[in-house]
Amino acid sequence: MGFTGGVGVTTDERNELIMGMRDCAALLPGTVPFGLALGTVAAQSGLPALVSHSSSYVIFAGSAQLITLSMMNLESLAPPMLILITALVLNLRHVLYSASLAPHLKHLGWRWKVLLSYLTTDETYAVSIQRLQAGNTPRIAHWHFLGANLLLWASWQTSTLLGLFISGAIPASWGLGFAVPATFIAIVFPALKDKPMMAAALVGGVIAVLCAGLPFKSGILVAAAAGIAAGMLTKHLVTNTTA
Amino acid sequence: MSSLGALLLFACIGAGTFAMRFSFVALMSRLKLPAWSAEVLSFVPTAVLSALILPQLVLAPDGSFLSAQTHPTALAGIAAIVAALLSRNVLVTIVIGIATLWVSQAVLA
Repeated sequence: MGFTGGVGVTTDERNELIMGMRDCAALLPGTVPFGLALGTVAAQSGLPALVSHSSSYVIFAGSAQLITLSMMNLESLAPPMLILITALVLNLRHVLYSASLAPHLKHLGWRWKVLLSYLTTDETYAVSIQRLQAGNTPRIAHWHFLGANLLLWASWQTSTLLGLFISGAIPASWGLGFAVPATFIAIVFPALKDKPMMAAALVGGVIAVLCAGLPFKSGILVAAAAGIAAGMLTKHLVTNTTA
Repeated sequence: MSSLGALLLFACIGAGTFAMRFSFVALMSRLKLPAWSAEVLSFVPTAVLSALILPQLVLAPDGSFLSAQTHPTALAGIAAIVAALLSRNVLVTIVIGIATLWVSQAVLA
């Protein structure tokens, strides 16, 4: 780690950055259609394009943007406070990611910590935490995370903006809107590894259907709480019966 | 909602999300989440995403359950779930889901 003139990047660091981008590129077939579909939902919010697209860099979290923009749909505008709570509850998982990333980023300066925190997503966390935890390159593995994050950020801005502008050109009968529930299905179902997770998914889904009539889409919060409770109960019942 | 209102709402959600992303990175690694909170949080993505998915698959915009209008979507959902479990690939899941949606829309129409 010699003196590199302040902004210099070593070859090892550059390689780490490129590796992060390459690992992230494998995920783009899922995130780009999601971005296009989100752009379509944004177009339906009735907001000026640049206002609705600002959610892509102000919030930068696909599922939270999706729920926010669909709750802002002109036909059924939910109270802003409820949209805020719903989006933040949906993003609570980022506290977990932060806790898991913290030990690997603690040697970095504030600017690195702020930048990497802003850029953290489900996808880039998933690809880079393995690199960070492997410990082969402990001092520079954050460059892997930066590379993955930068590529995802750039592709997200591009695909959501593109989706916003081409949404009028894509007939609803093409069913591209289905890319969004399909992306969530692809995230949720392979992760149902044990009974507690299955209970959380089943109860969350069923309660959401039963509570869909609740005012202002508050059924999602009720369903999420019920799903989490079901997961916790199942986990502890299973543990108690096997222990 | 007005543009200003929307920007304010985005800013609040963005600030809250950043605070959560930054929380433990900022506080270093000394503070550890108590076991129960990590457990609760581990169910959050699954519970929330399922709550988002299932109503979209089985409820029509008017709230009716498994009406003729939602049959193609429900079938596409089942196909996407099978594709997700077998392929563990987002693109495959989307393609199979949308293809099933087209076929069932054509057949059931």
